[in-house]
Amino acid sequence: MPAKRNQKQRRRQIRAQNELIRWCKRKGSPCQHGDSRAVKTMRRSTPYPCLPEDIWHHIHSQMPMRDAARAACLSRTFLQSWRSHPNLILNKDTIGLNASACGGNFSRKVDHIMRNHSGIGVKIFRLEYLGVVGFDASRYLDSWLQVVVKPGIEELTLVLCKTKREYNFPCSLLSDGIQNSIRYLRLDWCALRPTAELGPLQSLTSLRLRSVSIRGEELQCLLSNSPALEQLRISSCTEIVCLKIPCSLQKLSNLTVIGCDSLKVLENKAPNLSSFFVSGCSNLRILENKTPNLSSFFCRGVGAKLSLGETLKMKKLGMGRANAVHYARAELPSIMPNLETLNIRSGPEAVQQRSMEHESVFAKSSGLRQIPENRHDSLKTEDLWFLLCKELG
Amino acid sequence: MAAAAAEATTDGGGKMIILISADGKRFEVTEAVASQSQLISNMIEDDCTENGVRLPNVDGDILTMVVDYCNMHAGDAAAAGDTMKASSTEEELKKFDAELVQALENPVLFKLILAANFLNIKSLLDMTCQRVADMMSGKTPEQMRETFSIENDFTPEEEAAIRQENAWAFDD
Repeated sequence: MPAKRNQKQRRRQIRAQNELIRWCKRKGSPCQHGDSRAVKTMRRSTPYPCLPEDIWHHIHSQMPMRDAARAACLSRTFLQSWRSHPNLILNKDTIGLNASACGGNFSRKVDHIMRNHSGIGVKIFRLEYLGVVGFDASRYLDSWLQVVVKPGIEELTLVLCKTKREYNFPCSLLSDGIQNSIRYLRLDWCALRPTAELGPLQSLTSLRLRSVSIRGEELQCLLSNSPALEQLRISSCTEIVCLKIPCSLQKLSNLTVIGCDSLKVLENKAPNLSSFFVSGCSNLRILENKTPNLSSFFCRGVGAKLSLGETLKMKKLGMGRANAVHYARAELPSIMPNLETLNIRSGPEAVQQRSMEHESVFAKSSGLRQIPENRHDSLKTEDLWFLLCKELG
Repeated sequence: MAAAAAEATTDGGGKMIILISADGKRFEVTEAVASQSQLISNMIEDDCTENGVRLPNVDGDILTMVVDYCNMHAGDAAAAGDTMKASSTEEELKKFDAELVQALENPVLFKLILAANFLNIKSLLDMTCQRVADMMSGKTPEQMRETFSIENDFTPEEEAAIRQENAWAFDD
């Protein structure tokens, strides 16, 4: 029996050795070998081993834009690799424009790069008009997006500028085969008008919209097609009046809403939301959370009626609003027993606690009781709330 | 806690496998350490590592580095089996990684890249490729060719045209 077993083991061993290289390819080794595709070195006698083309491509993709463009001049392999550079990160720093760069100059350089790109293999397209004076990319944008937005793209970031004629983002691009690849979408200063024809964006985990013209129902349409969404950040989108996060967003954990001045109703039903940040929505009347997993909530400059639902898991709370101290004192001990960090700002009374500031917290908050000196010798911020609860309870 | 630690030792540190380099050097490592190589992980899964794993295209000196890297990055499970080595912090790992690649001559760095690629250890491949990318950055094409012994297969006319096309990347 042992002999038979050894024989079997040997057979397995031989099979394993024979399979080594095939394995490497079959099971997805990051870069496959092949001498014919290796980059030639200058002298055959040099001790440099040849790296396969795929590895050079990988190295090239990790270089910053300007360096990668210069490397295109090295050899045919590098030129081909540059034509399908996967990470197109285009801003004034990566392109190499000076501080007072004008938008026209930036756009022309980007256009030059885009015209020479094959459009194959782009994973990241990040275009940022930050710190550029003037903006006239609207006439180019459609053609650039046509080049890069293809199946396989993972990140699409368009940080545009305020212009007289707003750029209308072509939503048809979102339904053309990129539904399974796009993970991150960020748009600044454009119009986004998704319609019912929009297909599901199966991999989209992060969506950021800033100063985007989109109505509540249009955003709702986008959200209902983003089942994998984990992070949602909406800022200065002033057309939105009512935003209801649907319970179908099972993975949504972070929600941030800032400076949406027309927003009146904000409601969350995403069951696993843990972090909720609302700031500067001056017309908000109703702010409602209907799920039990919030552990961090922050609101500032919001006059809305608060309804946070079940808050047993709340650990961090930040509030800046009239009567916040009163609210904290009257409501929190019973509804947030597990709170660890509290940061409140209420009218002219600054009530904030970080590190060991609690003497002032209690001194300034009329109505809150002082903790005896010997009780808070070793207090940490986390402990404070428990003591506060005890004192009040 | 004690039960959990004992279990980790059994799982992570229990079974050893032998890696054999092209020049016959043998390295004994735990399965947890070796499994960082997707290639070896697949072999363990298929139960064919019992008489050692021969790596015919990885030299002993390179395999030494790879094994050091894998030992360092094996995480808690492996560390539990080796009482001398506590679980490394992120900072320690970064320092170790930086020192590993910075000390290497370029041809040795290339051999390490090839080994990482063959063994399919993604983090090591990324790190070593990033090192080459960093070393190429800030250089002229001539300096890049010189540093990494890359042959120019363009005609002078072709090269001039490509430079013209990418002139924006040569501006100061």
